[in-house]
Amino acid sequence: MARYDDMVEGFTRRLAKTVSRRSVLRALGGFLVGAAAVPVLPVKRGHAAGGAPDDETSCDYWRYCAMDGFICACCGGTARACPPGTEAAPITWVGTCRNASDGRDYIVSYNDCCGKSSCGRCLCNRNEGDRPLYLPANANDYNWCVGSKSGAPYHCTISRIMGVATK
Amino acid sequence: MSLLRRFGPGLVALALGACAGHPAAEPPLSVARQDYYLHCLGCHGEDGAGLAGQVPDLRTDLARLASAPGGRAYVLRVPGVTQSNLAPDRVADVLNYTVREFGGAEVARRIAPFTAAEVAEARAAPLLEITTTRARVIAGSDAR
Repeated sequence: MARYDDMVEGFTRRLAKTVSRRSVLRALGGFLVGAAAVPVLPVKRGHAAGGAPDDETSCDYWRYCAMDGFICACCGGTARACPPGTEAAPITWVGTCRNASDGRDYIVSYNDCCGKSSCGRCLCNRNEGDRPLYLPANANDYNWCVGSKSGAPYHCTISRIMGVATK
Repeated sequence: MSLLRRFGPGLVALALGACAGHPAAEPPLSVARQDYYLHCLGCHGEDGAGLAGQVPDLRTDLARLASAPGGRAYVLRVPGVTQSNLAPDRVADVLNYTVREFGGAEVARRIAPFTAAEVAEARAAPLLEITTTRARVIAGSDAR
């Protein structure tokens, strides 16, 4: 091991003596330009099988696996933020979704955004983990706006990632 | 030109690029925290605050009820606990997680950890009069 350490140290010292910082920056710049011109590696995007890649306005987006309502990203908000003029209901439905890009399951909280009439755009009806109403805590059909300060009008739904699920 | 001088800059640039690497993967949640998120957070909230007048605040109500006369048995029989599809040991773990997370270390020291046996026994005797039982436990707590 010590001999290996000596070899690496010697090589590194020779490298430092013969290579200037300017030449390293020139080479780095060349790599960056080259990589921008030609895709070096295939890019795997996270999306449900056959669905839109990382598109927050698509029902096939992986984090919308139990989205039963209007996508807030189509309604002036984002995947994780309510549109202006609405507030996220404190009562929420929580489930898990698999991200195909890393093969991990994530805990997802679906908060209804409340206070304005229904958005009417990008309606999804995905129900992974949903259960019928006789298991109320596991049913995603409820209007969870009942718990909000602004009252019952449901506008759209966001999906917040709470963490990585454990097996 | 020596090989080192010719290829050295590229070698260093590649090494720097390799060192940039990927951020460490986020670790998974603990089982108890995950069970809280999936079975309790929907109503009680990420911070345990609940909803004033509708959903108990775990930061204050849990410790108060669990340490009151008859309160431990009440906590073990609330609908969220008895209607959960988790196994008794997982229910006990998430109850203990809730006490520690929202009550703090001092509260956790005062309340004996819930056990799987207690959860199983409570499930055999579901609580139907929730509101009146809760009021009785709170009255008993206020009288101390």
